[in-house]
Amino acid sequence: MNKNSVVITGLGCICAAGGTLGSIMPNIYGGKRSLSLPTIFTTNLDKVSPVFEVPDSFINNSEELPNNLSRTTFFMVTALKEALNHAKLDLSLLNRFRVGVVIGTTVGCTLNNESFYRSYKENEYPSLKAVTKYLNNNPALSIARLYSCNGPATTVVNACSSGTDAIGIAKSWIENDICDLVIAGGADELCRTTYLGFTSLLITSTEPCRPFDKNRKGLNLGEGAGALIMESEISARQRGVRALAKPAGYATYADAYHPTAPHPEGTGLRKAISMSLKKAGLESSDIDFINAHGTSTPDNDKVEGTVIHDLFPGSIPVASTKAYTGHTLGAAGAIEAVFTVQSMIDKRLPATAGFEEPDDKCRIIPTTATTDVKGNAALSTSLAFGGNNSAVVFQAVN
Amino acid sequence: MSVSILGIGIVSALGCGISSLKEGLEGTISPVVTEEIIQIPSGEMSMPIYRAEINGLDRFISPQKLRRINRFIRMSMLSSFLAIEDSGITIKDKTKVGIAFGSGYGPHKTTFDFLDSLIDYGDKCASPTLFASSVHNAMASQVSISLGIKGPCSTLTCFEHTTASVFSLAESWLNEGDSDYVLAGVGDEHCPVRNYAAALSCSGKIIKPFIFDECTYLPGEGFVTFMLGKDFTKNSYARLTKVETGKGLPYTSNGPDHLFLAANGEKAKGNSYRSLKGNSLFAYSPLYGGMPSGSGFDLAIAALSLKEGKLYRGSKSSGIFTASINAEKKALLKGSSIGCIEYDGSNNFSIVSLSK
Repeated sequence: MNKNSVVITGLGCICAAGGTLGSIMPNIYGGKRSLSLPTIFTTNLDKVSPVFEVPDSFINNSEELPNNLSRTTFFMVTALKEALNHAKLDLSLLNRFRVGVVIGTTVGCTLNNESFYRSYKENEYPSLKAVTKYLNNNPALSIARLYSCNGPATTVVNACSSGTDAIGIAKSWIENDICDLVIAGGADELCRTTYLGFTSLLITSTEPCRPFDKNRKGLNLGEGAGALIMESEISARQRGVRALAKPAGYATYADAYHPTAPHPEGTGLRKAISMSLKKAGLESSDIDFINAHGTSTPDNDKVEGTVIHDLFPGSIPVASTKAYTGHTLGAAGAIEAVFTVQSMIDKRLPATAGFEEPDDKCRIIPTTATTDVKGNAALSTSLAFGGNNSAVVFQAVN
Repeated sequence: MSVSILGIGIVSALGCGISSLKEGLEGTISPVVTEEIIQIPSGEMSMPIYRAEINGLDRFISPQKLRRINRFIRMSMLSSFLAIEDSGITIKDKTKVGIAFGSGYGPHKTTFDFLDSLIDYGDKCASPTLFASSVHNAMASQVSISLGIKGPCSTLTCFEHTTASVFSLAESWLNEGDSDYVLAGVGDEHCPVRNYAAALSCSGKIIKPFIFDECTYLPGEGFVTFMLGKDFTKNSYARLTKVETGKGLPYTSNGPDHLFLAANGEKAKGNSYRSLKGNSLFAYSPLYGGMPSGSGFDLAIAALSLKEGKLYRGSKSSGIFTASINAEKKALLKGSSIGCIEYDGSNNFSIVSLSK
């Protein structure tokens, strides 16, 4: 059976750098970073790391929405509205298509309400309001319910590669004619539980993150959502909408090495990048730029930089946009995919903010200024807890 | 290209391995159900809770390597080891084996254990080990590490639709050539908070899956893993014929010959299950307990039924038609198909169908 060709027709995003993709890109091309100490929770840690927090004013809450939506779902709704507009998709028309929903997250599907649990521990018999809220906010199921989507809906929980993997699943659904159109993306919110978890692992930085820099100290957490409208090329043509790019190749491979650290040789990442290129029918020399995972942790950047150096000989432009968004965990892959496609369209790649001094161990020098790029093909990579490595190749549509 | 179930590993209240499941279906053993005391506003309540029996993991992995591995991850590891063993397959290329796992609720007990570390001892004492184990993909990750599996490795969570999502993903990896084999597994873990939530709305002592107007739900735990592949050998259990999702009734005609309902006494889903018609409806949740990944356990029962050519049929009394320890067997016709259906509380269904 011939597979359906898949294209991207809509993009949307919300993160600390802006409430819409249209407002975010000028900020990151301009090198503007918005991080601060957390305001949505408190901690009595001796040293508090800054975060990339999304101001409430960025959240699009213009329509009647149920009042028990989580912050993660609100982020996803905000990014999705922008993506649907971008794709010229009227919500009332969605039921004409077989619409699937696949969204990556980490915090967004976890029952970790601390006040509820404290009350439970103290035998104060808390109401189940927190549990009900959790049950109503599985990201994919809640979006499918809010927009009456009639296809499959699933939430990917592969930690930090979830958003990229959601795009891979969406691609497969359309190629195999399970769906005409898929809402794909990732969404995650900052929360105290995750913040303290990452702090306990000693991988957060009390300074602004510096991806690939010799003096990098760790990551800064962030929050937000990225949304992509993916559909069959036939569907896009019939609707008369412009294809922005196509997800030409996707692959994911495990390291089978360590629960929280990447394989020192980057075996899974090498395989994921190689296979994503092979599936796209491209060579590494065809890739114009890379939006790297680039968390700013010592281990990640060393492994990722080395793999990129080895697989992309020469001086391919590489940027880490986490310097503007923070590490948004389950949303990261989707947000970075959105940035990758938009950079292809704009033919510009932002500077990797915070980078100053090269690290010989990373073996790459990321962008130090907004850089002109060709927009024919680009790669976005994600590495995750558990040793997941995922890569997606985007290609321009003629 | 069709996908087949080549091996099954199961860890449940019936014990470990497909033989324990079979014994449970034949009524020679009963599930392990312990009475747990739960504090609720009206006082203490005793509730039967299904607890998985995890025995024999040391056959596959040294105890030293299990030191920091929690119960949920142990269940997923053991069921995976057992699935491979049951299939009799020797894995040659570990980059061509995928792991597609899912959990209805994820590791929520582990998440609460992590919260205990910071609530009891302060923010500075948050446990990195518990945090690393509390991410949803911790099970798939540990299975990948312990078996050296380097293919695609994904975890999905969508409550009652988790099993169907996992099978759909595994099927795509096999059909697209990403994997030669996939370990497809689902499960949920025991959690006192879940028991508390159940105790606030249910007060039964046994699960009555075909009583739709009252809550007889009792929490369960376990993990079931299927070794899936493209070859159908004489030892294979069944073929995967369809994975579907939708709203309302799953089909108007040409449905599977038999339907296994993941009904587990949750009143909110009663009307959905009640609307299913036909004389060949079965429910086995009294054997494994209530959990959103329940249809995974039904799939194991369906696969076993198809392999053995017989249905394990529960006792029928007073209109209650359940799989119970007094099973009676009925021949399963050649060519029969079995659909395993699970509803959520909004009348949306997922159904995974198998045939011999």
